[in-house]
Amino acid sequence: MQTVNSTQPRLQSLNKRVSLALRIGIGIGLVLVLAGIVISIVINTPHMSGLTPISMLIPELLKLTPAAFVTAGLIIILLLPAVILITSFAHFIATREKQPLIVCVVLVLMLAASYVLLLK
Amino acid sequence: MPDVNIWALAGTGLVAGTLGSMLGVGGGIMMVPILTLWMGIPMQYAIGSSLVSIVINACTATSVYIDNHVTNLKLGLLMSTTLIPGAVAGALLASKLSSPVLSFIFGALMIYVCYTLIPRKPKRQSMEEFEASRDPHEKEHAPHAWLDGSYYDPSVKQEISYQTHRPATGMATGFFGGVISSLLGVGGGIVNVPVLNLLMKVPIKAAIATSSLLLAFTTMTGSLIYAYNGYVMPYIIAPLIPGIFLGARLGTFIARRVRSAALIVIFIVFLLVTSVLMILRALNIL
Repeated sequence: MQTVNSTQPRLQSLNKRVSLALRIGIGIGLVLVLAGIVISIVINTPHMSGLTPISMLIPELLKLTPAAFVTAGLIIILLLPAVILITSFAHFIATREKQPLIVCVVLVLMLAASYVLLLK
Repeated sequence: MPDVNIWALAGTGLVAGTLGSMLGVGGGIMMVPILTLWMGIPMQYAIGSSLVSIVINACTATSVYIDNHVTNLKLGLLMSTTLIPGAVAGALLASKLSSPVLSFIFGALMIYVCYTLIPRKPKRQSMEEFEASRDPHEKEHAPHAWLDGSYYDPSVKQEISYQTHRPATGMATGFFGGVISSLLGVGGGIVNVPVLNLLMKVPIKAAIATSSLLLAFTTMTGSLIYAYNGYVMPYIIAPLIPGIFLGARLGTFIARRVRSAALIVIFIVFLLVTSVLMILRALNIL
């Protein structure tokens, strides 16, 4: 059984990776949302109507539609918890830590099941 | 949809983000009343904006807390396995149960939790004390050792090490917390932090940081569903996001530097106000 001290350096490297992934994701998301705000002020459309559908996202981004920038930023930010899970999952596979790996697998299945259940 | 002032929205995000990340509660409990009562935004849109804001707040706070090794990532992942089904069960039960009665009971329960949270004697241990207090046999074979943690607390300039107690009970209570948070729309933080701190003996700063991680998981599903159903409006959420981001950074900065006892007192005051508001709303006084 591993103790606090024996797993500490490995855990610290995981913490750093998760933190880096979150910071990059938040940074990109924030830049996109701010770009949306700036464009909406410049072209004077304060009331951005609903979020842009994913299928229309790229064309609307190319047209510099403010709502498309906000939508893209939101998608990136809202998927960040999944990034935590993926980063942790990859780390626990590499370090062969059985218990947290099982927890990650259970979590992935649970999130998938909750989407199916709630989106029905 | 009413006209909203972008500076008022950004300010709301800043306040909710600061308190939410400082106390590990997300900030939704402040945001929904401000958006609905003060700004006149319809409830569904206010909840959608609030959920998205909590994800942003929780992710920003987690990026800082986890970088400082305050977040117990493994414990957070384990707790999420019961919190997420609890939150889903709560969302499914929401239409079938009487919310005012539950609000009243939960508010009263939280007032009792406030009483039990009042610090009585310091329980801090240095790394040496922690190691010395553990039996070598226990150290090798403790079944929950993988959930233990340690972090550096700059307010006392000391490494704080701790053992996680009663993970099974904590997970079961976490499920209940998930149900309550979805049913009453209060956010999981006001349940997560007392469960982690009182029941599982996780120090308050690690409990707050781990609660932020839990919030990211539990609100991600709800926020995506609200966005999918069209209840997230870009012109409401866009000004909120920069405010929440700055607030979350400020909140984590304060939480790291404030002494644990002060943080507990702030949390108790916040919990007490929330509980009283819930009881008043349940009694139709508010």
